[in-house]
Amino acid sequence: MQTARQHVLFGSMTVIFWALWIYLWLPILALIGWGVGVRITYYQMVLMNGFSALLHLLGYYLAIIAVMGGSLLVWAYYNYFRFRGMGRRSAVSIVLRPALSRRYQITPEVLDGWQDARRLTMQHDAAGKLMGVNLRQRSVPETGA
Amino acid sequence: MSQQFIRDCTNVLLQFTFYYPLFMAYVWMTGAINYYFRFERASVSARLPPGEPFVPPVTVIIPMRNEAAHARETIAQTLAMDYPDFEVIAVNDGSSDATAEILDALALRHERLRVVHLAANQGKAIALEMGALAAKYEFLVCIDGDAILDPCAVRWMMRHFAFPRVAAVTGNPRIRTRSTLLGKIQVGEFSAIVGLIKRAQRTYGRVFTVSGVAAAFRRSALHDVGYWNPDMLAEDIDVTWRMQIRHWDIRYEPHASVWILMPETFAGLWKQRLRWAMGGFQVVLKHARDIGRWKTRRMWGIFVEFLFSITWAYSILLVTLLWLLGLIVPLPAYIRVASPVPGWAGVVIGSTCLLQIAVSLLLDRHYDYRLGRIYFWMIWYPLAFWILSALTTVVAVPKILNRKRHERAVWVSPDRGIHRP
Repeated sequence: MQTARQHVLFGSMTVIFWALWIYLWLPILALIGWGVGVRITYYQMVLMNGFSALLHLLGYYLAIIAVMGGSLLVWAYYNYFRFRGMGRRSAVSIVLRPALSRRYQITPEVLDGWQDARRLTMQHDAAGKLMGVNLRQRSVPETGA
Repeated sequence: MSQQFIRDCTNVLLQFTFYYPLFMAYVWMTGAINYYFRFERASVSARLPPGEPFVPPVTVIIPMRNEAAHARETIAQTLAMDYPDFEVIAVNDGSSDATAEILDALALRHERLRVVHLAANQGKAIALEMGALAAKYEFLVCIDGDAILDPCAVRWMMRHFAFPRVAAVTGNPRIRTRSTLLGKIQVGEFSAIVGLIKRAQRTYGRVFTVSGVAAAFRRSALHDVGYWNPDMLAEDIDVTWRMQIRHWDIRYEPHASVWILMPETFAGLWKQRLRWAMGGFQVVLKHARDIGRWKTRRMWGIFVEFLFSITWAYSILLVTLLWLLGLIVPLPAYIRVASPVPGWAGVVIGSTCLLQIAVSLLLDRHYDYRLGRIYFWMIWYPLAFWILSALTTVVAVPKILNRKRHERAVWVSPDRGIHRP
């Protein structure tokens, strides 16, 4: 549904965003570049201790990820093994006609009529309370459109 | 207040703004991958659910307001679903277009279709409740007026209800509107956020919300919690929390694909996301006291994570403002934000974001099409949608705090994307 112009515009902007994203990876790219010249890499990363900042940071990250992700999994499997095969709570019986009738203050017979009708029109008051229902039963054929 | 204290606060703010999305991304991925291997992998290519079929009669409820453009298609696709015994109730919520006439005409032609007309616009919550009132059956599948169910979606949802404490099953919304950049980004977003996070939340054991566009309910559970609340902007989030507070179980079914229309204009997207943000905060505020009890401790994880996400929205706004201000006027060193993306961490968060999206698209590839192509466009996601999420949250919080109590949430016509004329 985009015009060709829009398609080119958004596609170009997307390429620019990818370029900006790759800019964030410059430290890694520099490392790879240095890796081509082994002596430079050895000097910068080992003798000048350039790796230490990166490893320090990544170490922290991995530890935090392991703790957070691991906690989620431990919690999940704790619950699985604790409650496996157990129905701790009882099933609730299906809502019966009397319960529904009481909620809407109608008789069960009226409720049956509503649940059988093909077409209903409902009126509500300003607060959203159901005030009235007009219905067309299944047994009454449609006349006209 | 000493300069050192302010400097420390600024550092904490920066660290939190940066590291919260970073580490939460790995939590989501961990949970989602666990879910995939435990619950999904064995049946990922299956057309029908494994094991003994559980196919009780269902009522599909479709609330509609001004859906004349989509009603025929939605009804037709719903009536064509692969399910043995069902009825469809379309609820016309006081539409001002031809929705009522279209539904009445369709009901004449289709025996399974019944129509409920609400004389005036009552909002989605009441529309759903009236559909539930008119429903014959115990199991209700509620979908939006523009939603197209996969033919076997209901079969996949219903299998969960064989377990008596399951109150609701949320489906897997997929985006139909992908002709524009916004549409494409939302395709990836729904996988990376909705799909990934739902799976992770199921690993945790509680979900933030069912998808309002497609969810199946047990009527007894709805009756137990008092159905949908018409005061809530996000009735889906509210009913989810009330069910879980009452110790019902909510499941996610990735096979239950539902194809929906999403906004493809900035204005439409803003309105939608603002409503979601307001709805989420409204629900959390309303249930904060319930959550504080020991009996509802299993909701604490969801609750705390949501609070963190609100805090993050405000922190990213503050960091961005400080950074921009520092470009214009000289700020003292202890509050100056030199760069919003610090050093090596920029590599990590950039990679993490793209990794999260890649993982989510891989998990969802069985339920959607051409997801690989979507990946190219997802580079926009952090810039566009993180900022959108932060801004809508920042705007939503004061709006909800100032909102009148018991103010009803009525329906607004949503942006359904851009279509061929």
